Amino acid sequence: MPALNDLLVSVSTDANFARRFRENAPAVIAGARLSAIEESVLLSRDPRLIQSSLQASALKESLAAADGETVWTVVVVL
Amino acid sequence: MSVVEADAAASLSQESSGALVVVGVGIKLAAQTSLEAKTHIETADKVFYLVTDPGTELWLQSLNPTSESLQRFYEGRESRLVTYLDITDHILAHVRKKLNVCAVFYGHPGIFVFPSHRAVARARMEGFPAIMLPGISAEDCLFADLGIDPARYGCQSFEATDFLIFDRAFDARSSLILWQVGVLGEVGYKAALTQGKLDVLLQRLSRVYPPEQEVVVYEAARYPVCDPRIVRTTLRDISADMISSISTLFLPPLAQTAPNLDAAKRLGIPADFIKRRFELSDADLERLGIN
Repeated sequence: MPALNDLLVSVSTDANFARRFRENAPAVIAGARLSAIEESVLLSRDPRLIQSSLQASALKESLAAADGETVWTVVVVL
Repeated sequence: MSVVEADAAASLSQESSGALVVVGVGIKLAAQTSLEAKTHIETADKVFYLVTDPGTELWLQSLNPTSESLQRFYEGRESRLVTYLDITDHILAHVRKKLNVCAVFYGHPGIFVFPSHRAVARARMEGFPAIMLPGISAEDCLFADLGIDPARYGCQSFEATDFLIFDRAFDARSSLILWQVGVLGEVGYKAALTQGKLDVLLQRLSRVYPPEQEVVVYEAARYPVCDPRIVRTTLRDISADMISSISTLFLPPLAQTAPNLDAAKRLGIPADFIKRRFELSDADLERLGIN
C-alpha cells in the first residue's frame, strides 16, 4: 500500500498511532516516507487533494507493476 | 434476524458451497468498517467492491488480494440500470461457482445501492445463503456531526430528485434530509448541479418553509485527518456553488405545534412527562385539563 494510504489507515485503525498523530502530526508525517507533495497535501487536510494524491499513488504503483506485455490505454480529459 | 437470515448466517460459517455476504465500509477510510464486515472481507474466496475512494480501494486490496473493482461496469452502458443488472449478474456468477463471495459497498450497503439488495434476493432465490450486514451511512455521520437525534422530532429522508418528481408529502415539524442534491435531475453520470435545477428544489421547499429557514449543506469526512464539511445557510442564500456531488441538505424542523393531549391521556402518560417532553407550562396543563 502507498505510504500515504498506509498512514491514513493507521490513523483510522491503530489507537497508538492515532494518538501520536493527534499529539504531533508534523513529526509523524516526517517519519512516514512521504514525498514533499504528499506531506503538504496531508497537512492541508483537504479531502479533494488527498483523494487526488491517492489516485496518483495508485497509478504509480500500477506503472511500477507493469511489464513489457502490459497494454495501456491513456484517456486525457480536458 | 429472521429464521431465513439466521440459517444463512450459520451456513456462511461452514465450508463453502457458494454464499454471498454484502457489507458496507462506511464513509471514512478504514475507520467505519465493522469487525464482522472486516472478517468477511478478509476470509472471502472472492471480493468485489464498489467504492468511490482510491484509499479504500487500496485498503481492500491489502485485506484480500482477490479484491476486484466493479467500477468497469459503469463504462459503455446506456444507463445506470443496465450497469446495476450487470453488476448483479457478475456477482452471482461467482456465487454459482461455489465461492464465498463478499460484495463491498461504500457507506451502508443497503442505502442507495440497488445491486446489493438485488444480489441478496437473487442468491436466496437460487438457494444460496446470502446476508447483508449493516454499515455506517452518510446519514449516521450526519446525526453525529450535526448533533441531531432523529427520534426527538422525527426525521424524513428522501432522495432529492425522487422528492420532486413524486412530490413526496412530508411534515415540516420534523427534520428533512435530502440526499444527492448535487446530482439533482441527473440520469447519467455526475454532471455539476446548475442553479436552474437547484431553483426547482428551492421553489418546492419555499411552499412550506420561510426564506430564513436554516439549511445545512453537509458532507461526511472521508479521511481520518479531515473534518466534515458543514455549511450553515438559509433557503434564501443557498446557491449551487455551495453544493458538490456528494452534498446532502439538512433542514431542521419548524416550530412544534401543541401535542395531541387526548392521545396522551388515553395512553396513560403522566402529566409531568408531557410537560417535560413537550415543554408545556403548568398553566397550559391546567388549561388543557391534564393533571
